[in-house]
Amino acid sequence: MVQLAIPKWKRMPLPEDIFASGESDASCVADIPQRIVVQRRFPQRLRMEKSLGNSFNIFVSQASKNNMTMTVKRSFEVQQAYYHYTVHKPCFAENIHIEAEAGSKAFIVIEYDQDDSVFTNHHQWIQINGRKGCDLHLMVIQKLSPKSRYFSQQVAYVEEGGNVKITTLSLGAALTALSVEEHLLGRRANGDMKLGYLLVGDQRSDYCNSMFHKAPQTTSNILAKGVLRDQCKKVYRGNLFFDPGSPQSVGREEEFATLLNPGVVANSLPALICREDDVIGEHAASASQLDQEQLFYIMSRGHSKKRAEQLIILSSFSEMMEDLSEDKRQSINDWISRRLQVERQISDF
Amino acid sequence: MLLNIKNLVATVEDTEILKGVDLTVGLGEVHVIMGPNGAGKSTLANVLMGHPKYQVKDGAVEFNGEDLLDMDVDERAKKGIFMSFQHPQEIPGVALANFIRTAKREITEQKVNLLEFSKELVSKLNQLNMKQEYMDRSLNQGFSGGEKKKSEIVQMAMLKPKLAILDETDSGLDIDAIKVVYEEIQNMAQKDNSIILITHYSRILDFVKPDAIHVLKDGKIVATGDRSLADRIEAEGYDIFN
Amino acid sequence: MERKKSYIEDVERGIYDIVDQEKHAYIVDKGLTEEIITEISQVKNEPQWMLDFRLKCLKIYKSMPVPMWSADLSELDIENIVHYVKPDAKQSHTWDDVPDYIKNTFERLGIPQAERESLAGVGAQYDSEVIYHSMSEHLARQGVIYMDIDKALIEYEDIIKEYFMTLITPHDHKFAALHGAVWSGGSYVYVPEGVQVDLPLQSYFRLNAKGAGQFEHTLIIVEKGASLHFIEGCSAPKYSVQNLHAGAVELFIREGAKLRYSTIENWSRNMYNLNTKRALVDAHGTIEWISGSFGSKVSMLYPMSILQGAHAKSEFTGVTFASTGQYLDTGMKVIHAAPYTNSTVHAKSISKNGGYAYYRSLLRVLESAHNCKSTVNCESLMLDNFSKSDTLPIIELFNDQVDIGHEAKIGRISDDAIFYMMSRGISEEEAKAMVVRGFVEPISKELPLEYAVELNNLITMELEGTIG
Repeated sequence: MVQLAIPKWKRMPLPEDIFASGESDASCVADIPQRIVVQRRFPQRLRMEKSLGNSFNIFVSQASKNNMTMTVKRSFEVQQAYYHYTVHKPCFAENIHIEAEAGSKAFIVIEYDQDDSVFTNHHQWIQINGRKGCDLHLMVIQKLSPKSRYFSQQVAYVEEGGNVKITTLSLGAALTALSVEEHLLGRRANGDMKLGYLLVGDQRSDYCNSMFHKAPQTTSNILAKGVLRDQCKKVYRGNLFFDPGSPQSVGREEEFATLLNPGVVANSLPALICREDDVIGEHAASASQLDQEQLFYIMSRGHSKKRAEQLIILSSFSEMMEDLSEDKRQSINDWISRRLQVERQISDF
Repeated sequence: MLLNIKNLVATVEDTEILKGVDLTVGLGEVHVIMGPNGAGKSTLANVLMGHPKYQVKDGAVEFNGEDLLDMDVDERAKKGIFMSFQHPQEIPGVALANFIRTAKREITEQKVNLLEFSKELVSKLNQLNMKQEYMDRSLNQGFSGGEKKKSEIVQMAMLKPKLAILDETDSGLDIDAIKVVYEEIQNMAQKDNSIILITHYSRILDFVKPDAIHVLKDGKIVATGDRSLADRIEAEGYDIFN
Repeated sequence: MERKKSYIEDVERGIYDIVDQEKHAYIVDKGLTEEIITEISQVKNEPQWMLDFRLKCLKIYKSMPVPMWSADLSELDIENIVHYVKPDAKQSHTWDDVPDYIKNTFERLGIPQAERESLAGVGAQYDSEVIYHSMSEHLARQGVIYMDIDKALIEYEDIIKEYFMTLITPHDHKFAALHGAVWSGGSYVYVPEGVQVDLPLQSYFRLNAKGAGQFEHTLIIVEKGASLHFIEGCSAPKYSVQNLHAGAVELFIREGAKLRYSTIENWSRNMYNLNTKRALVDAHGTIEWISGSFGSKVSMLYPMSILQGAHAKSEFTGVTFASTGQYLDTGMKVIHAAPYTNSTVHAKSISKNGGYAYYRSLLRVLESAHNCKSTVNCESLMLDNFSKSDTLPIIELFNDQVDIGHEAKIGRISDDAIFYMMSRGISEEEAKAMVVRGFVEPISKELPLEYAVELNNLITMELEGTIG
């Protein structure tokens, strides 16, 4: 394996061992409908996107043991696929290609769980080809241990009339670097990105959501909501691009950060880059403590302050979990509640 | 004596709003508080419930013989105080039924029988002309102003507080809604529950028979009386108390 | 005295490396020597400490690379900065050399001929002495000092020494260091405790032809409880063949004081405007920035407010209009360094005909700054498809008890609005101009009337395309 240089990031220093080679494995429980064909191979990279940077791109290509191509066939009903990984080795690298054929409809959930004592460098490359008129929702739920690292690069290309929605719930890991990009290539393509994150203890994250409007009448929406507690740190970059040739496009970007105590560090860099005049682009970023009015209201119905805080925090993620079943939502809520109750996070980083 | 307020002085951001309020409410009594805008009516309600943005500078409040001001918000709820908010909060992802059931469990510190609870809730929703599906909807999210107010009354009816403080519950409701809401209120008062109704409109007196009507003006209770007091206000306005 | 430094390529992830890579270029500058700096200082009769300071700045200047993270500064003749600063540098052009668009603007704004020549740097010093003197007497009665900073350095040496370049230090960036070495001219204003200066002070009247204010330094101190409105610049374009403007503005606002600092910048289209402006605000003090940026070829302007006292406040209202060949990179930086501080930013930008308008900002809330509030609102209007408009804000929070809201919008003039106005008989051009003026109205209404009128005229001219 090529010795890879650890990139130097201004706002988030990276530890030395993120590209350590090692056993790479995870057990998986999957529930796949007939109209989604899965092959254990990964076709080429669709394009060399910048994502997290060259080093990360190269590492995932070389180290990946979980290569997968999911082809979603055209259907009338929404095909639901569900993958549940339990990661138990120090390295887990995967390359996933999702081909959403023209007119296909699918909701794919990939969830990662892990015992609190396990340490893993989890590297991920997911690319989506959203063909004409497709309707795809990919949800990635990361519930790694407080020791692990999560490096995820997700890139989607959306053709004419296609709709690709990517929701990421990044709830665990000591260090997370996430880059989600959508390229709206065809007329009336729609891109939707949702990011929900929870940071407690010493956790650190660098999130980047980029939406590229490259064709006329494309629409997009980016929503990032997160909760920060203890001594965590987050950097959020939201990039909304309107390239020349994207007239009558509309794009929105919103970020809300809830800060629970002094000592958290929250950086936001919402950017709007516009090269086309006939567009509407909006972005908003806000940060504040828990809504005092909400707290008071819930406590006035007999809930303790802690429970009230928990309820508000869980409520903030509810928007992200709309498409999930009641049971799944409940189990994620339980996981979050447990994570919130832990006083100290053990982390190597 | 359920509630005894003596010389209550309260400020918000260094501005004094309540300037020495005295009020007593007995078991099973209905008290109406009227007054001009800015008099401090909502402030009084919020201070009794324990809103952190208000600071109590002087005075005492006894609830069932205990010092109320010493208690945190949720403690006061557990003691049996309920406030119906003027602007109820939206909590997405938390279903109305679940919220009320959990609250009931916190307050009574007992398990809640699911079947009984659901039956009662459905019946209350019916009484207030609210569709059953509201049970599963996210608390107050997407509810109209009137529906939010009714949702507050449903919560009150299910939690059965010893003292319910209703802050301008009638504003935003049409005449039919006012009728059913106040029927429920009167219902509650017939048992040993007490009610403090804060309102602008003397119209509600057509539906509720109060034990006393108080006028709160410039942070103090300036008059106490019966229905005739309300009629005078209707005819002559609040300036008569200058 | 060359020194080479190697820099680790620190690539910022995200938009900054997609759009611009952080690069540096190291240039050997033979022209600017200690001898020349010493000459400048001696001609002005400066105290020794100022000469020492200048020389120290020169050293720092030479050791720093030219920043390449934004505009293309390659056309700036950095290797020959000395041409800009030599005391005997003469304006070598005549009225005929002055570009037509400048002359047209003077015409439209109704500038008197004598003034035109002065602004264009070809005439004798504009005789504003009369106006200046009557203002001077009025101010003197209140104890307000308003004079050339060169003079103040001699007459009020102690104060100048205490404040000069403490807020903008030579280590901040290359052009701050350059400024420290070659600064010349500018305004010094001192408002004593409790004095409310009732008329706005305008630096325009301090213009002089020589050097055309390239490296002027403005130092304003507003003492406890006092208030002042200072207007810098003017809407009439200033023309000069020497194309670098690296001035500095240091504003000190004491407890409970208020300063409104208005600027209209309309440098000629060959200018590189790299001004640095900073305000330091004490408890309960307020700084209001009003800014209109129209001219220059390249502008990199980020006024900065440092709120160091509790309950300090910063308000910024500005508009940037970028047209053909212009690269206007402007914004606002606010540091909340104390609790209960408040900042607002209303920034508008218009880009047209290939102009680049960038809004770049920083909001930083330090650990000690609890209970502070900040609202940022930026709107960009693009008038056609050849222009570019970017919004690149950075928010850094080190405290949880904050209330931060940032919003930005980008778009074009609504067809519906144009159609509506045209249906009432207004021509398309006039309708567009009305929309743009309306867009800019929050800024123009903060300015004294004559400036607002000039601003509107400038906009009309920009839209007509009579400029540039």
